[in-house]
Amino acid sequence: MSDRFSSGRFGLLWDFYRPGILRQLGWMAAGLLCLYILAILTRAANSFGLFGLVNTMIVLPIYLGPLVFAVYRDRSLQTLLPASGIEKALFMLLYTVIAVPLAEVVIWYGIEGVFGVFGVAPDVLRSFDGKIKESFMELGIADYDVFNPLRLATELLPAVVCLYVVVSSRGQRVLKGIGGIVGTVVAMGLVSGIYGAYMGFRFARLESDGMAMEEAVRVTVAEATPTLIAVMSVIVPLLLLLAVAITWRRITKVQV
Amino acid sequence: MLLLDDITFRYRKDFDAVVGVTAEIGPGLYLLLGENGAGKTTLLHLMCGLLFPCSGSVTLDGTDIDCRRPSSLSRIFFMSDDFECPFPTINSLAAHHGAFYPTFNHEMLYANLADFGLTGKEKLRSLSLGMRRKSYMAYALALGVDILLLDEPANGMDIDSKKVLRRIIARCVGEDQTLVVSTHNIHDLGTMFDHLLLMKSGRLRVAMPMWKITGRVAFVSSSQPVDGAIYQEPDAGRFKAIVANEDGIETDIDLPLLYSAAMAPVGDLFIDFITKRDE
Repeated sequence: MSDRFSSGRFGLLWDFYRPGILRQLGWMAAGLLCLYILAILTRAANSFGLFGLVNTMIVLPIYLGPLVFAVYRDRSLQTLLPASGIEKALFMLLYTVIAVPLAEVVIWYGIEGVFGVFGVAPDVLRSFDGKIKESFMELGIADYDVFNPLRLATELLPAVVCLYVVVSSRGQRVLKGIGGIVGTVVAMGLVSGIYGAYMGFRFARLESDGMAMEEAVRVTVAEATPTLIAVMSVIVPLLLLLAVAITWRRITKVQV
Repeated sequence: MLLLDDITFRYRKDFDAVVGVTAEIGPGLYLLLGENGAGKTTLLHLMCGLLFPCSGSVTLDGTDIDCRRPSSLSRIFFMSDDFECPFPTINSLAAHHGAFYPTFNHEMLYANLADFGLTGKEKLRSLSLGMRRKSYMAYALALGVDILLLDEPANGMDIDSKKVLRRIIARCVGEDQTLVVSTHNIHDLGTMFDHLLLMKSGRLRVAMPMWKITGRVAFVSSSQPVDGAIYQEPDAGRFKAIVANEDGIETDIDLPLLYSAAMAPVGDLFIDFITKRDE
């Protein structure tokens, strides 16, 4: 048997994990369908908050994708699969950062297409993103692009952390994987919170200089938000790359 | 040939689970004995590459096991005492996992399952512990790997099933293959083993073929205490004893008695005697 990268062995890995993956995709499709129906029901209310909730929940399948590897409870069986570390790491990471998001997009737009046949197409994602863009333009931020590296990295980072935790944990791998997701999301929120505090100080200073409150808010947000987005657009993708590298190493060198 | 070269492993700074283990594990049937916490499972994990030694090396025909190369991994299989099959049936395990092993033999799997009265289609979740272990053993023995490591293979099996397991092992394990069985219950698989590995407090105190042991000591039974016995203990009104084999007469090895002797307060002296360390 050759120790070089083998597409045949890569295919065997797919075959090994296929039952769990197909089960997960089934649950994903069911969940997205429920979410889509929820979107239809909330569209009539035209509620930005509810759209925000739906948009937040849409990303959950991406976060939870790596849990498929936790369901295969016997870590010794997975670790000792006669495939190279590169093959195993590549499979797990490609599944987490590419296959699951791609599957979700396909399923979502597939659902949208089916509903569209019946004349019901709330196009949730696009309408929500449109509202965000409208809000930003009102604040004077004209260049916000909803599909940017920051958004992609923000959605993938918790998933990669979940994969790391699942691969590393000895027991309760599903719970710990979810804990990793929550921890990452909270940490990212804390960073935004710190920047929010800075914006608060800036706003207070402008107001104390005599600027009207509404104008101070507009100036603060218009000045600080692009900087925040620009900084996070560099930091979060870098953190994602670091997480991928650390997880790759863990997959190839994990001890059971 | 699996070569363990002065391997040491510690889970924490103050606890060495395996210390200075050196052994050559060639073809044959090995019985790995030791008290609870002796390091048996840790040693098995080190032998198959699930754990990496803190010092020393484990090599398979010259290749470091901890490299986890596919060519090495396809020659080794480890089944833990708490193995849980990730698939609903043995047939699906064979279909999704067996393909990784070039030596996997489907016919042997079905023959093994049939010996246990199984078909491979049974839902594992609905089986008892003993029935599941039979299924797993049938599969593990059909993989045909060069080195098969089993931790408590007969766990949960009834007496008849253990006999069947012995028969299957004898059929499936060839002369050029290595089987290492770790068990607390010495009676499980009888005297089918030709090598003994004895762990004590993290150290591999005995690593020798059975014929060498019976060449150095004899196992006797008497109605009276045996003079000059290295070790003896009462057993149902008689005395079972281990004596020096000065006459060169080979007796059947009494593994439970040997284990008791090794674990007794004079155990280290007994072990040194049979391994001739004090010469």
